[in-house]
Amino acid sequence: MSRRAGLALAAVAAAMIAYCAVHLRVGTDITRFLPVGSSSELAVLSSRLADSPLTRTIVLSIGADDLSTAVAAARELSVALRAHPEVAWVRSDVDETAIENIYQLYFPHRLAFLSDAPERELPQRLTEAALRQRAREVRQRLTSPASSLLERLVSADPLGAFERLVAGLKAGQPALRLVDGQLTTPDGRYAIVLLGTHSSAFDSGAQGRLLGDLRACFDDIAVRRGHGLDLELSAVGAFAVDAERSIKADVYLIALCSSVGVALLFVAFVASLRGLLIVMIAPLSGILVATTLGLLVFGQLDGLTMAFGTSLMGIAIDYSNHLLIHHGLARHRTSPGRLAARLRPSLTLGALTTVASFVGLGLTPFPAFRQMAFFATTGVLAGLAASLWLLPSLLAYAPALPERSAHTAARLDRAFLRLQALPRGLLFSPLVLAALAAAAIPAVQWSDDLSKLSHFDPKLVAEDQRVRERVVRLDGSRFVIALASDPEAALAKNDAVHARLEQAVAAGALEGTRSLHALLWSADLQRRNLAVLSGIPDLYARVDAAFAAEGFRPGAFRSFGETLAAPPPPPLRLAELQSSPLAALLAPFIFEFEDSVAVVTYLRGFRDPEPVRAALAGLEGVHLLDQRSFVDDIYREFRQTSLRQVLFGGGLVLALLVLRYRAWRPVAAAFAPSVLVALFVLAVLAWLGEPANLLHVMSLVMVTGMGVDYGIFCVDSIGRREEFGATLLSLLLSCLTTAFVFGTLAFSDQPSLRAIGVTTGVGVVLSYLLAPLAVAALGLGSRGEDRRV
Amino acid sequence: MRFSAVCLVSAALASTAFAGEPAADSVELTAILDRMASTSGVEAVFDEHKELGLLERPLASHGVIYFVPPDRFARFTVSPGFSSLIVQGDDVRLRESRDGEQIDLSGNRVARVFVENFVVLWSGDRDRLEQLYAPEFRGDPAAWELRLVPRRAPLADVIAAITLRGDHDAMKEMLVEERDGDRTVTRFGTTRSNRVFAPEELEQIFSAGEPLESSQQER
Repeated sequence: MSRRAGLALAAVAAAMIAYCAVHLRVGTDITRFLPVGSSSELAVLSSRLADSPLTRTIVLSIGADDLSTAVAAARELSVALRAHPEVAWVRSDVDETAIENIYQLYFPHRLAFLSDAPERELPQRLTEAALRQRAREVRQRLTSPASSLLERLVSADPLGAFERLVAGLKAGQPALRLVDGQLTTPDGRYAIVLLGTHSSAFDSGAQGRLLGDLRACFDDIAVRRGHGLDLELSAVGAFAVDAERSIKADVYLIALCSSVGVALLFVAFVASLRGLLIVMIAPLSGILVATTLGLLVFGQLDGLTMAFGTSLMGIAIDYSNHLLIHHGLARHRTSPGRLAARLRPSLTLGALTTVASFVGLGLTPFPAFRQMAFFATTGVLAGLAASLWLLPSLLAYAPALPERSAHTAARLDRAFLRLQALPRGLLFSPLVLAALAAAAIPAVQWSDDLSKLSHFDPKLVAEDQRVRERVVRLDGSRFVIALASDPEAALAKNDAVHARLEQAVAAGALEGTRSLHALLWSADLQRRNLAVLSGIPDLYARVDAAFAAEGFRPGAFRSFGETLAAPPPPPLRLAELQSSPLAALLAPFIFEFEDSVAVVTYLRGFRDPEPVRAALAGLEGVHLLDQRSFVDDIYREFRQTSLRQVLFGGGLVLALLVLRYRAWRPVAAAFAPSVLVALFVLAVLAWLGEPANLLHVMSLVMVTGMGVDYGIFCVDSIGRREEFGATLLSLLLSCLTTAFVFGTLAFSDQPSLRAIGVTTGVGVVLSYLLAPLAVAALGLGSRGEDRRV
Repeated sequence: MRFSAVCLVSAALASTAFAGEPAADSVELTAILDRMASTSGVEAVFDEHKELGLLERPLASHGVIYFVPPDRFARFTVSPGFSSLIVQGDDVRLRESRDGEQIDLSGNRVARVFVENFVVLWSGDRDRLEQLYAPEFRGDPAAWELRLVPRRAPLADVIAAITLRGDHDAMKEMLVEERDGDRTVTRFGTTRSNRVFAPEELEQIFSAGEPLESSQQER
């Protein structure tokens, strides 16, 4: 490579490093693990709900030795938070204009909100007996201290339509009390502050800054005010921040441990810093190129992709490692350029088979796994390119390998010769084991519980639960969604949903719901109420007579009569509410979704989905979304898809091998280790009773790709007897470096990374043992065999 | 409708509140306020007659009030039906039947104004009282009358005047006159003006929201 080309490459690398340093953001957005382009609209809806005003709301619970201290601290904290750029809104008290706004907006429409089932209910509620019963209740309530309020309301609304409306609105709100103008829990033990963020709850960067500032601000208040002040919070963002912290810590630990492990190995077998640096160029190039392209294409990289990326070193280093060892042990016989040219087919085939095994991941509908496939593919290819075109120029500067490397290579070669000398039947014994393993595979327990792939700080989980129980007991992951082409149709569907869910509540299938129905009914339902009333021409006289019979002054409800006689106002519309001061109340319930309008009903006390699903049966465009089981279902589908992709990737790999070798024995020798590894790993999981999950499958994708690499390197070098020891040594180094990298993953706090670590670590060691065994068992490199496979 | 819900709530609260009131520029008024301020607690049964525009005949009810300095007040109607109003600081809760849901009026600005008025009255803060009402005191300690006219909206929009009548330490009668002609007369029967409440009694009244058995037996 010319000096100019080298400088140009260095400049490109520097530019990429700078770009990554500026733009690198690690995401933990769960929505990236939901499929795109799926036929199921629920997947996208689920994704949309995962980033809703509900998930952007943070609940702060402030306790102290006495409530007055907590209240004062909450008030001070609220003032500080209102000035924070990340805070969209803060609610620490009751909106004093809310009652006025509700009255102004709803009172003129009260008669349109009388009944959910006007044709059935209203005739019953407007009989003489029912009206007299209502009159008796009103009369009794007039003895209460609120009689003046009731008197004025009743004179215009003897049927109690507005009261019912307000009761419905109130039922949908958290049951908080006001003490000294500050929201507190119903038991009066904690001051409560609610706030919304501008950024998504999954934007861990923004959430982390806000939570950091919030805690710092509170700590300052607590130090000044004392009296045992304590802050607890419930925030989806807190989990995102915790996950990022944990993953980042793992990534740093993995990077450090794998670097140290790799360095120790190279000290032992390369014994030169220069050699180590040369070898590291290929994996570092791979990671740099993959990170840069990943950021350019995706904007940010997922935490798991980053963890995968740092692990990629274990694959990409194989190529440069292979070159270095071969060069080091044969430096007097061939030039680096020639050596690279000779090894190019093996390295290229190895890289292509690895890429082929990742292609399956890229074909799945999950953005996060597409990103991983993209990252792995670009990383492996960039690592290969660096090995083939950069390393030969640098190998000339690599010092000689220490004697122990040559001795180890020779020992490994002798071990292989001993292996070859073993009876053929013994060499095929892994096939017997494979048959046993295959028999054990049906016993593998598949776990698709997504929550088990993540590990959150138990203290954080407990704190979140405590705060939620103090404020609102809605289940944040269970919804009913009504989809329709326009707002009016969506409201009509929501009316039907509400009616069905009320039945489910009455039947004990649910404790309650929080619905848009408390705020707005469809125009059709409103008109139907008015139509029933207008169908009773003597309604005013009937009401007046019934109330007079219970001691009310005749004519006392004149204003009600005038309302009935006047043309009714047009139905209250969504647009009217959206332009009113009550618009903020609508946000959690209704949103535009592609070409449709979605209305969400939140469920409380959801235990068994079946009665709820049965209650909603027959409502077109209405879905019960149990987000947790829904996501688990998606993962089950993904795991099954991934297993198929393993087979698909395996087919691609096999095709590449057939294309290259055009003979069954080398193809079998190169391919068998990866198949056997997959079988053994799954069998071990079955035998240990360890549930296998999606990430075990993904790890198998990776480990089979590496197993094929080992097979190819062995098959390709068996033809040069004098180089086989070098190949075994380079593979040993690769195997151990990979085991180091993935071994550190096995110690991660995150179960997902642990699954990858254990599977891949065990798998790669097995691959190393099985690759030469397969070559020996199939008689490659033995006397009489074509030495130039 | 002229009145908003906020105004209506204030009116409702005002009609219950002033179980004892302040004063004009007189020694007697000062003495009455001082005695109210120094009380350890009050328990008084009452009979109430409401003359409402909606009803043909006055509506009679019977109940009991409790006051615990500095800021706790409860009013229970026990016949013909049950209702309760419980005030603890800014926390104002209303229940319209024994099995009914508690209505939290704490978020209502007018309710808080009412609570402040009430506490001011019993704490003997004459300056604050005169900021809120125009007081007019007549009579002597043996038979006094204090007429209070709200100075500001929203109370002044609903309540024309509140007249308290009493002798010595005891409140005997309260008349609330509303601007629409409604009148409520509350007559206090057995009154214990230096009542000391036991913790379990306070728990029953202010937490459980139930009147004491002993009060219900008195009339």
